Amino acid sequence: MSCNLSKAAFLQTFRKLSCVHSQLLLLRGVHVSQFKPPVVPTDIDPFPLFMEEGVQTILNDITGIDLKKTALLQPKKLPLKPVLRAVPDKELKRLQADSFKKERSKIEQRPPFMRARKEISCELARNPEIAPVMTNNLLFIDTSAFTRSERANKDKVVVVRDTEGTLRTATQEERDRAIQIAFPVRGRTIFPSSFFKPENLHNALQRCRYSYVLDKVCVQYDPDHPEFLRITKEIYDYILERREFDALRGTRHFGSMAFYLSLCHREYELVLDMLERKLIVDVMDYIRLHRKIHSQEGSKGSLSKPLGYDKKNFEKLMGLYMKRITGNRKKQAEKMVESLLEAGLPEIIKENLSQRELIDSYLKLETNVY
Amino acid sequence: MKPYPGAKLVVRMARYGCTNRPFYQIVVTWNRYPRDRKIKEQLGFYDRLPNLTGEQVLGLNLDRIRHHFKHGTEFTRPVLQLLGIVGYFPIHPYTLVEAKRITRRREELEQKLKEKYLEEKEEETDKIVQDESDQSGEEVKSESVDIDHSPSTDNQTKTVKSDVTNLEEALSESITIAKKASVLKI
Repeated sequence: MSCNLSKAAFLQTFRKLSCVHSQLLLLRGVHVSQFKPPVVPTDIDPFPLFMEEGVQTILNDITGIDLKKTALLQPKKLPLKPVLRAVPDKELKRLQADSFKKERSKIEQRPPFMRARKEISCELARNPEIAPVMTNNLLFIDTSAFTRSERANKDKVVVVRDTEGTLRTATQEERDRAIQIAFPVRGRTIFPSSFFKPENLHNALQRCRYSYVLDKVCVQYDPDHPEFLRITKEIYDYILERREFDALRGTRHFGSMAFYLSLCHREYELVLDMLERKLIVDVMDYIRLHRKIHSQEGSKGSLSKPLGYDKKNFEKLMGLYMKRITGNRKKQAEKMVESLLEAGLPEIIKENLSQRELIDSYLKLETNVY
Repeated sequence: MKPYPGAKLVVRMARYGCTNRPFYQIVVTWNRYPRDRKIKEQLGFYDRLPNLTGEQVLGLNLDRIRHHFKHGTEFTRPVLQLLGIVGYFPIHPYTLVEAKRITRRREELEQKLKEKYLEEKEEETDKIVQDESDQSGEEVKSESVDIDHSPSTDNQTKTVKSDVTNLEEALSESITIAKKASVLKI
């Protein structure tokens, strides 16, 4: 075994792992050379695709809602006394509906997948006669945004007067710092903490704290910050290598991860994972999403048609999907599909749909709070 | 509504922070009120000391500044200077005066250091000359004085020439050290 964990830590992580593949990898010690990290294609602009309604609904459906997991993942500061209440059925339903709605609103705040932002800096004025007075750069931020209606960070004016006397708009790093000084976001530090250094990140990931790290990254950086992209890519690649997709299922990062994987043409492992867990409706949705993302300006791009979830459509979709796969993978996938057909597809589909309907019914219930 | 007869509104800097650590809030008050107390409105902040990244940070609510400027509040000179440096107002003439002053001080410093350096060099060469003359005087007393001095004078001129070329290199170091040591903005 070539891992750095102690015996107790090893057992802990082993229990937390959700997938046989990752458990095997942990036992063997990970062979880094066999894994090819995915490459993001540069020709597709991901952000407008991501923000489409159809895409967002699919991502919502794929993540689902798992209240137990989110309750486990919450950081606990003090041990809370359990609150016991006797409640009639209607009230119970309402309370459950409240929690479902809260969860769904949290999940919908998923970090979008964007390209890295561009460096903007242009000169506004040149006054070399002031240069002797400027011993340091002067970083200026206009705090009038407090009194105005627009809140976007891009509209905030940040300007720097150099030691040579040139007035210029600030670089992106300077802008971030200045905006954090004047309009602080809770949880964000001005200078990035050593939590995001590779060694410490790796430590956290080894203990399977994926969504914890991702939440911290979302707080610290904006989604178009190059550091954000680098760290999330690292985490998603780590998860992909170990096929630990179930760790994120139910959190708000699952959707962005699924989008990222299908962008980089690495959705196969996720599809397999879903088939193994018998989430056939999710598989169908995900393959539709994948085809939509890589469609070439045509009829295949539309997601508006409501798909009937039955055996025929499933076989059709899987057939279309497996045209693209070759070799070992095809055989694996075919085996899976065969085993599912033997086990009884329509019943499984019924189960999945009933689960979804449950969630929908809770979300539609009228409650006072949400 | 005026708090006392003859009250005027003023935009100025109120010094907060601690001993040896100034931090200014840019503030609208009545002109006779104490410097730090009874503020009507806060318009911004100014941190004069450089932070970890070597910057002085200034934040201003330009909408409100504009509003107060329209309604005729007095702005003190430092506030106007800052606004000029930032680019919202034209550059204040006092900043140009300050700049000139600083350049003049710098030149005077450089002059002083040059003179000092040259003096030191002369002393050293004088010392060398004296040592050599003492030695040569002890060895050969009968010979004339001129012949004894000639090699040393040649050396002196050579050293002076090389000194001139090395002057600037050696001076720059001492100038930077003097600048860092000086309390004023030189």
